[in-house]
Amino acid sequence: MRFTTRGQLVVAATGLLAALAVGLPSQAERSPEPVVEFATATCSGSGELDVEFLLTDAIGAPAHPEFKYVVVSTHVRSGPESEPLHGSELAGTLIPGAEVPPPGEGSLSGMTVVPGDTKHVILEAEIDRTSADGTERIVVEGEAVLKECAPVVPEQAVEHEHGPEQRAEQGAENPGRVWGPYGGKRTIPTHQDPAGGQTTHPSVVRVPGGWNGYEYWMAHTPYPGSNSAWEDPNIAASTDGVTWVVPPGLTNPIDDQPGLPGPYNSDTDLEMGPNNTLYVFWRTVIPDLSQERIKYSTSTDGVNWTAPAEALRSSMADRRPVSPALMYENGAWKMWAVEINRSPNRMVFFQGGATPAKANWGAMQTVSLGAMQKEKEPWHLSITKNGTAYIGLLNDTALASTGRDGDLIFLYGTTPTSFTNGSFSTVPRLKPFMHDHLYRASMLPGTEYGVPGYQVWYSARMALNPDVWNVQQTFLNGVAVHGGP
Amino acid sequence: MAPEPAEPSPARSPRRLSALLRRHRVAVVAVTAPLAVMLAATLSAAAPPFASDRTEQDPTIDNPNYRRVAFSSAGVTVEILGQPDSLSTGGVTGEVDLARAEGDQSMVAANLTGSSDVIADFGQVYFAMRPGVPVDYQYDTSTQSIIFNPGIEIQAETVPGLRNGTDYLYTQPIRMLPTAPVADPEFPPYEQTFTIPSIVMLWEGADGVTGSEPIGFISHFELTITHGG
Repeated sequence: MRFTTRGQLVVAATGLLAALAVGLPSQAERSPEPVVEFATATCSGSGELDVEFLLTDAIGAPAHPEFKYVVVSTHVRSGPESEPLHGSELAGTLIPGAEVPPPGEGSLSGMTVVPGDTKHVILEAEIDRTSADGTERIVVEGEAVLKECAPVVPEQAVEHEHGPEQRAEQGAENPGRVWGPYGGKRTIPTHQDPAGGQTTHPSVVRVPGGWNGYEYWMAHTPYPGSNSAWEDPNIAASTDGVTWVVPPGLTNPIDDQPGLPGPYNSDTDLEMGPNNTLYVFWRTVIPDLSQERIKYSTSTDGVNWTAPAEALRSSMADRRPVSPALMYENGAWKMWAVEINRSPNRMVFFQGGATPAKANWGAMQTVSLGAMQKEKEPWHLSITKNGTAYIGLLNDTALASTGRDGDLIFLYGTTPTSFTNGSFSTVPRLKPFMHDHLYRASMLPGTEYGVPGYQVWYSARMALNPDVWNVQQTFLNGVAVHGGP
Repeated sequence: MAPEPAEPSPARSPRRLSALLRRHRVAVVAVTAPLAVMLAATLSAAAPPFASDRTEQDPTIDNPNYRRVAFSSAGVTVEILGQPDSLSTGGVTGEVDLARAEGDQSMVAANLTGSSDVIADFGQVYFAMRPGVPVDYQYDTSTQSIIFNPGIEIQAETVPGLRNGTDYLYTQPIRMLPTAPVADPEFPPYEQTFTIPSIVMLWEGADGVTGSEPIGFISHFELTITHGG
């Protein structure tokens, strides 16, 4: 068969086109590359967006054992529609040095917290693709287009038998009506991660007008991956309760213990005491001695702290008061705690003297709490004053467990040893991708969005292996709030 | 009368078709060539890779890097916070799958089953893998070791200091090393004993979800691979 020149050209062209049509996709398959996918955007109660990206292989991507992908750098830009984008921090496993898992075996996750009016978030990742032929640098990018996230303003409590105004006039809170949305994650500098690390046991003191340059002071214990080696008392300060720093000149931690199986610290509580002096309390467990101690340190400037002193010493066989919550009132110290030696745990109270020194504490008294949630018992707590009332947040736990399925229950009492509880969690236990167990919280009377209520900083964990711990901030509606600015 | 037109002879039809194709040979080749290329590509992509499939269907069959083995252990020694003395599960026997990647000396454990032979401090105990998916756990794959990832679950009849009733205790991922390393380890490592190189934190929990802080730690745990499972 003989073709004319024109015919040969036509045949060659059509054959080439067909080969290209078939060959291009298979050529692409030979050079697979991960993609940045926008996963979720969670609107927190405080009006911020938690935006999560995944760096993963494309759906249906073939296995590529001949390639290894390692993140070199990440760059997040975000901003409203009409303004230039600016840089944002990225947290999670999507970090330089991380290797992208093979197809079907997971992904790297990176989360950034942006203001609620953010329209665009763009994540760019530089990746080294390594094979037997060498290393090649590629850049992948993903974008999230967001809907506006506004702060959740808790509705005022509905009428109850006396009406909220009457109850407020009477100075009585209705624990069953105190609630709020889950909070926004706060970046807290820790001695393990000065840029902001996993931490728990927040305890916040507010000094209207400021104290040594800051209105808000926080004690907390870093707890990355539930590693007790880092669980030592840290101090942070803030001018607005949102952005936290380590005051210049302060070196954390205040006390350093090695962690299990050796002694370890936990359970911080921060209180303003007499003489304009700040007190930080914490618990130290000494397994070898079967002892637990409540220790404290003081400061008049927030930077220089005294050597640790002892407030209470307990043999673990006799009593185990955890999560101490203290208060200096009428010239004397009070201390509440949760006694965990025998399930069900119980809330207890100690009357102290003019100083927290251990010789001054009276006998341990059981506190009346009312009925707990079904199959629950007390675990951790914080107490503060609202007018003449004692209020607090009680963190509960599944019966006979060590901090599982925790909720935060509002407490209200007119005496130190008798409280009523709100019977349900003031804050949702679940915040997608952020927490599924609530933990120790700190609460202060206040006003936000023109509504009286309670400022709350709570710690919570995402139960993983290992766990991830963070501090969140929210605002609870209240009926009768005294002392709010 | 004009003669009836003759019926075309059957022998002439192929000839006419052949002539037709010859006349339009350029068009025919232009159409069939890309079709042939695409058909070949489609067939090669869709065809099942018979040869490789046969070996990938069940990695456990005749795979020299996979074995179910039996083990025995003198038990796990546990320190529970607040308890004055060390506690023991008593002797444990059971079975576990061991697998290693080609060229690696580290072995990954799966499908752990074990139970105590005697009633000791925790009553009857059962060993299993901790529920959940394996987590990111970095280790040297060139060194002989047994990896339990995401960890071990110990179901205990009672845990002193915790409560009365069935409790579940969990570890995070564990790496056990040989007590007597050998130069050229065999697989499976029959008659070899493995131990935890340092303490392992222990947490109470349920369904693989733990409490917020350890209740104690495992201070001693050895197991010996005895024979095939």
